[in-house]
Amino acid sequence: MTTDMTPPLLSLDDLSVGFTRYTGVARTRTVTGVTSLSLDIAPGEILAVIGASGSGKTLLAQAILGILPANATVSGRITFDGTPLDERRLRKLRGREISYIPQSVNNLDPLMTVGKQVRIGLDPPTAREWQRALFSRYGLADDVARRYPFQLSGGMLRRVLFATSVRDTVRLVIADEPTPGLHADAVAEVLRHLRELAEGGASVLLITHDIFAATAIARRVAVMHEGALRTVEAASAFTGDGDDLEHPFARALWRALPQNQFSPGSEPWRSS
Amino acid sequence: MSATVKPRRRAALIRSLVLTGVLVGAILAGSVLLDDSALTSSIESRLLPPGLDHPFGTDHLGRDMFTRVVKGLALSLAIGVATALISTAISTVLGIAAALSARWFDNAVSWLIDLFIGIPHLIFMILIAFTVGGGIPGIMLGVATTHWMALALLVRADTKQLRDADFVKVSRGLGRSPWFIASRHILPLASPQLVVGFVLMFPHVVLHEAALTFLGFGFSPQTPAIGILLSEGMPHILSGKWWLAVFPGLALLLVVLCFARLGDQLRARFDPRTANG
Amino acid sequence: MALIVTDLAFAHPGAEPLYRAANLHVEAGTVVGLTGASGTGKSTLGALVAGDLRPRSGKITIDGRPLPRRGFRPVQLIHQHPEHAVNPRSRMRSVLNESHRPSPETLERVGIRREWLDRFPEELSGGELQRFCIARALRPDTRYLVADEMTTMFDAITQAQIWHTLLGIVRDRGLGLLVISHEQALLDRICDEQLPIDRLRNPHPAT
Repeated sequence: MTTDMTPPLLSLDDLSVGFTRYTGVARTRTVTGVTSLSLDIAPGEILAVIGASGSGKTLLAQAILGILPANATVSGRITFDGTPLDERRLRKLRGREISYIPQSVNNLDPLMTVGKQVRIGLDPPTAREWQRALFSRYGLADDVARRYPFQLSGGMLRRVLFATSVRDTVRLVIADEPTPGLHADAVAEVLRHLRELAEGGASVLLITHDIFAATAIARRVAVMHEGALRTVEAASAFTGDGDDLEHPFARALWRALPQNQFSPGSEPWRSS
Repeated sequence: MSATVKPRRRAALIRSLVLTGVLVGAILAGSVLLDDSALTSSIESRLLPPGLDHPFGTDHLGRDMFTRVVKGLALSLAIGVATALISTAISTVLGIAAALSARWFDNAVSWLIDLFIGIPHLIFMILIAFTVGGGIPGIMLGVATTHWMALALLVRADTKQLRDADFVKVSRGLGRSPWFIASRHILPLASPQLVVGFVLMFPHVVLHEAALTFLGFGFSPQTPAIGILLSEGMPHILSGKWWLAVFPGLALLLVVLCFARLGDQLRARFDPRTANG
Repeated sequence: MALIVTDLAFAHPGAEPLYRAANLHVEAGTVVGLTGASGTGKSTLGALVAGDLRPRSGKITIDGRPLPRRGFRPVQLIHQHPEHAVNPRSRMRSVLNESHRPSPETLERVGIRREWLDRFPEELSGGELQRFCIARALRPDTRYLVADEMTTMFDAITQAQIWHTLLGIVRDRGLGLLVISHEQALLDRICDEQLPIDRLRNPHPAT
């Protein structure tokens, strides 16, 4: 796959996110969340964004989806399929061409049968058929559709969550930390579903703190730290002692893992 | 504690702060600067309608109503601040103590709050003011002991939430006393709530103080309190001397609305969950 | 010299009993890991051992003496979210002094810079705050530490730095350390012995 030749599906150019916060009764201050970030994702590519909590990786997803909190200010350009992604266009694309897989199964509506939730946004005449197809794709029995979230196991709910975000019109899937505290088997299943989506032609933006989940399916791994994109590395470089990694931060991160050398490194890596 | 910054709401808050500040400043400055000679009786200038010399007219003794209103408001504000402070202190002490102490004490405070909410305000205030013997101490005590309940409930709920915060658990594990926890951890974090409670309580306090005075349980008729002015002016409305009651009434309304609005906006700033709008 | 939990029973109000007769032994000078998936009661056990929660029955003894109900507890808990474990309105100096006055050498060893002492919590990163929480827990009379997902929120570099710091101090002072984590690789790296939470919840499996 020569993604370098095809134009990117999603392109972030000099994206910054800041927050206005109160510091006194009426005095305010702006805090940066993401600083001038530029990143491209090609059609059908799985791009992983890794970072710890507070690194800005979730803000990145929220900025693309236009679901940042009200006190956030965004600057920079987001381009989808060659055209700027403004609020009006986003409203049309969200759920159809751009879909979001949230972190927690708590995002499902507890008062609606899961079948109905999967049918939301599908064309009414064919919705039921599509939902059945999605259920069989994710190994869910037909009668599950009539159940409510509380009647299902955690694993089934996660598959329902996938079914709600998969549409044949989808071109970009943003998965925000889809494997939190899951067993290895469950992680493998989630990653397999994401890979299937990419094989179906959709681009996948996988946001995670888990380097191993990232390198398991992504070709490129973007490394975020304290709101800045430190480097984009080839997933294959995260191996051995990390000598193939280009950026020293990525090397330090890889070597600090308890699975590797658990090395505290020598630099403080503080941007401010 | 740190609410989302909404620019329009923030602008409204700043406007309210400035407006209330200017109003209070003007009343205080006026009460100091206005000449007391305008308050001496003079037969020839009695019951004059509003005009250039007397913007609010004069009363039946020929005293300038504008001066009386400004001085009355200043006195009401001063008494209101003191009273609301006493009331806030009661709320704070009882609210925090209830949340941090043994269950029986918490239950006792709840019972006391229910009791005070259950008894009609005005009757209770009159009783207390009467028992103390009227005058400024009577009014302050009567109003202060009937306005602390709502804020006490809020402080109690806030404290219960903070009690389970990690940093309070750590403090307890380090062997710190409830007193230390209350003063170092609870009070600083509850203080915005207290300020909001105080500002919201203030207009009620001023109104009730005026009401008590109006009913004759407050100050002697010589005191230029706004309630006295109102009770003197009311009978004259029927005889066409409308300015005697309308101007003191409007001035009181303005002050009260100003503070009520500021209180609502402060509440929206610090605790957007309980604020409407 | 050990932290010993005997026949401990606990239930959250209105819930099924979480522990019926749990036993745990943390020898002073050793690092014991408590493993298990999230939501299985690891943190609750940590809070019980540190005295933040009171068991329904059973015994917790520290070097032979019962865990005190009032006053300083020689078992100190280090929380997962340091930003919740410090008062946001306190300067870092008074956050520390709420516990004790650590020597400049201790501060340097924990990795706290002098200029951080005058800052407020929101002016520090999570990793920096966690160093304060560690220094605060390390009173001279502290005997045991419970680290509940202490570095879960941080990047791998910060995680490695904090653990290297803490493990060095723990070894030098001969403290006992109970590590609660869902990350197997981390536990494999730092623990002398590991205990699956299931074994505490069901001491006598029916097999």
